[in-house]
This record gives sequence, C-alpha cells and structure tokens, in this order.
Amino acid sequence: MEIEIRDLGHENIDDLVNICVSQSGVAHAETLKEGSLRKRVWIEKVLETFGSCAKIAYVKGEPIGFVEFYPVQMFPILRHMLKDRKIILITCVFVGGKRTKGLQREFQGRGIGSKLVQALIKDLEQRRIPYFDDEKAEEIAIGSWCSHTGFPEALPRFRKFFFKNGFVEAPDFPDPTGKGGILIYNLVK
Amino acid sequence: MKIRAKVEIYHFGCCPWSYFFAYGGGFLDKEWTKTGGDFKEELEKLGVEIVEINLLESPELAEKYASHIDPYNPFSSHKRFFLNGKEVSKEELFAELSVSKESH
Repeated sequence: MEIEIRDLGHENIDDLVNICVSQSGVAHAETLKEGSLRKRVWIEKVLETFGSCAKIAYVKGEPIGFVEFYPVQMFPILRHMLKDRKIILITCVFVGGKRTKGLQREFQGRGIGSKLVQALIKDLEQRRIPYFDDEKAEEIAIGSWCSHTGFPEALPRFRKFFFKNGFVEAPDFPDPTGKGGILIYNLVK
Repeated sequence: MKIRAKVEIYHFGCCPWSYFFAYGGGFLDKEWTKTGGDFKEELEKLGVEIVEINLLESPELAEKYASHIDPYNPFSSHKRFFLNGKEVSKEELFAELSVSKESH
C-alpha cells in the first residue's frame, strides 16, 4: 500500500476537516457541519500565522489520516504555564477508513499513524517557528486525550503507539487538570 | 416582560467535535435534541442569543470564564447561560425556555 504524506496548505484544508467528521456516523448533524466550517476558518488564519499545522496521509489520492499540531502558546492556560518553552502540542492523530471491528478501522494498524508522526518529527527538527522567535521546537507534547480522555478501551493502544514512536511519560510536566499522563518527545537529542 | 436569553459557547476552533459537544454533549438532553445538531436551531427559533467563542482565538476569555477547562483536550468545551443579563444554571435556562416553548 503506497502512502503519501502531504503538508496541510490552503489547497487541502477540506481533506483535513472532512476526514474525522465524514467517518463519524453523525456527520449529518448540522452542528457538526458548522463546527467543520469554524475549523476551516480557523485553519486559514493559522496557515498565515504559524504555517502548516497538519500532515495528511493519502492512499491512492484519498485522504485517510492526519496529525494536527500547534504551538502551546496558542492554548489558554498553557500559554502562561509553558510560556518560555518551545513546545508543539499534538491535538489529534487519526487514521480512518470503514469500521472493521469495534473501534478498529480499515487503515488502522498499518503504520500510517507512525508515518505521520515521524514526518512531523522530521519536519520539526528543521523548521523554525514564528511563535518561538524563529527558533526550532524543543519538545512535542501529547495531552490528555491519550491518557484519560475519550474511549477508555482505546487508551492503552494510543499510549503504546506514542511509546513506539519515541515518546516518553513526563510525570512532572505541567498539567492544570492534575490528571497527568502527558507524553513528550524530546527534539533536542 | 419578554425574557432575554443568551448562551455562550466556548469551543476549540481546531476541533469540529468540540463545537458539536458544546451544543450537544454537555447539555444534550432527551427532550431537547437527539443529535445535538438540532439544538442550535431550536435555540435560535426561540430567540436565544448565541455567542460563540473560539478558545484558541480568545484564550483570555477561557482563562476568565472557563478556567477548569482541560487545555490539552481539544474535544473539551464550556457553556454559560444567561437570562436577562444574569448568569444562570443550565436548568434555569431550560425551565424558562420550556415555558416559552409551550406558549408558542
């Protein structure tokens, strides 16, 4: 299976926005559609201020997964707690396709998520970030949705996935919720 | 006296689900909506003012009014409810809207 990873740009915003929503089973909900429109508007702005904030995986030209990320300074509360740190926060990694069994989907478990995350790591090792005074990011963080949010049965799989990709637990990492479980990848080796 | 009702929706602009859950997940109830998708329209029909706030564009508002929010979780959201300019609970707003709905 040939997988192509492309950076998010103005030309493929709809690919990013549609991947998770279109396969949800509640895509008909008007509010979800409106949420997609809001995301589109937001992404257009981010492309101007931060640059590409996602990488999208394509199989035979069809978008089937993505990793999305932002400087931590964009986030409420964290912008104060982590203001001097050059951290990129992953907000979502998703690989889709039709459901096969339970939460599993047809393109999951085929290394596509890892390709996305590895492409992000490679990118951030080179990229200078306007939010960090044009310096490079030093860490990638992944927050609560891989440790205590979302489907409980999927959490061990999420954590295993990130460990496999070089992330480690960061028990002392600032977390305003007090729940912990943040994982980080150190870009400065 | 005509009731002025307002709902403030705080959502993460990077996540359509945050927006969806803000309208549906948090104050979804059996009587009002089945998918969350109809709730906004219902509120609008009843003349409820809706203010939407992208937490990533207005982080200071999140820090002021939604400081409990999990900033690591882009699915999360927050709501505030107002009647005649006074912040009220979700239940109070629903009760008032139910009276209004019955009289329509």
